[in-house]
Amino acid sequence: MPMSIATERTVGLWMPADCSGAHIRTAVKHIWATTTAQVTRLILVLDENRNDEQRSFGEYYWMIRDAYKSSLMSMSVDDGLQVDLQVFIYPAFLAIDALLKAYPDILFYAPLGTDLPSSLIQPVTFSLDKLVQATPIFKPQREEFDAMQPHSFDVVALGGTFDRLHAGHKLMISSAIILAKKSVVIGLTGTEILSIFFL
Amino acid sequence: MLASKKFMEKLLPYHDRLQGVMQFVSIFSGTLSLEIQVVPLHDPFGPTISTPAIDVLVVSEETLPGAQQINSIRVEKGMPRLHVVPVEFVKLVSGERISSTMIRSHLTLS
Repeated sequence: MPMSIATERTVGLWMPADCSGAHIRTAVKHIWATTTAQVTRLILVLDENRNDEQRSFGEYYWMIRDAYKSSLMSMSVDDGLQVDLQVFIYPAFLAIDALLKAYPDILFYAPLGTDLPSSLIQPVTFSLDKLVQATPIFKPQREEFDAMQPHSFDVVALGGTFDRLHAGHKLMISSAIILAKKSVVIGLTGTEILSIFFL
Repeated sequence: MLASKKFMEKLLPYHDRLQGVMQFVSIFSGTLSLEIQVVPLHDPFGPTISTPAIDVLVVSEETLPGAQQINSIRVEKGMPRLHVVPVEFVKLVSGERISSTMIRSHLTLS
């Protein structure tokens, strides 16, 4: 019998935004343990489940940072370097249409009872009851982040080489987008200045 | 930003890096009507030392000293200081911080 060849796959994980890092770690491990495909991209959507509550920039920052951190904690070093991990906030920021356009074959996993947007096909469900009890995560105090509000600065800039976008880049880009009211200016290092300095 | 760029032969061309950034930005900010400008950098400062209208600079912990340099140049030129938002490194399960250099080195070795 021919061996089955693992296929590459974009997997989505739909989680409540107020879940803990322990929930995310367990859910990511669950996906890795149950899929036969090789996960090459993991899209983690944090669902705020409400539009009206005002969160500070700091709250968004910690939420996204913990999601990247917790997901990477559940992966081997190799997967941590290879898997294209992306964290999004729904519904305040993520456009489902753009996500589906970019990754039409995405297969979502979600805790049982999750209400997903109708444009997404039925997710693979798993029970949150089986997940470990949430443990409080240590959040270092950064008062200046908590004092900042989303969409409160007209022009936000950031810069870098942004080669093979990784979690650190994505956390920077996400932070800039959350803070900006009108525009985000992204300085992208030209290959020629890298050459001047390094070749 | 330019400190020790190793495994340069694996560095993606400008256009590919631009595409990677824009793909992520357009999905993350899909519900907003933000103007996104990508500016090629020909020096380490780019528009931050010539555009008074910029309010905030998001940096990695690694490039925090660069931000202080940018602010002294802005003050010399009579421009308002930038609010600097330092973003932490993200670590792998091994405790090492994830970086493009590590990813390129991994591609080279595997």
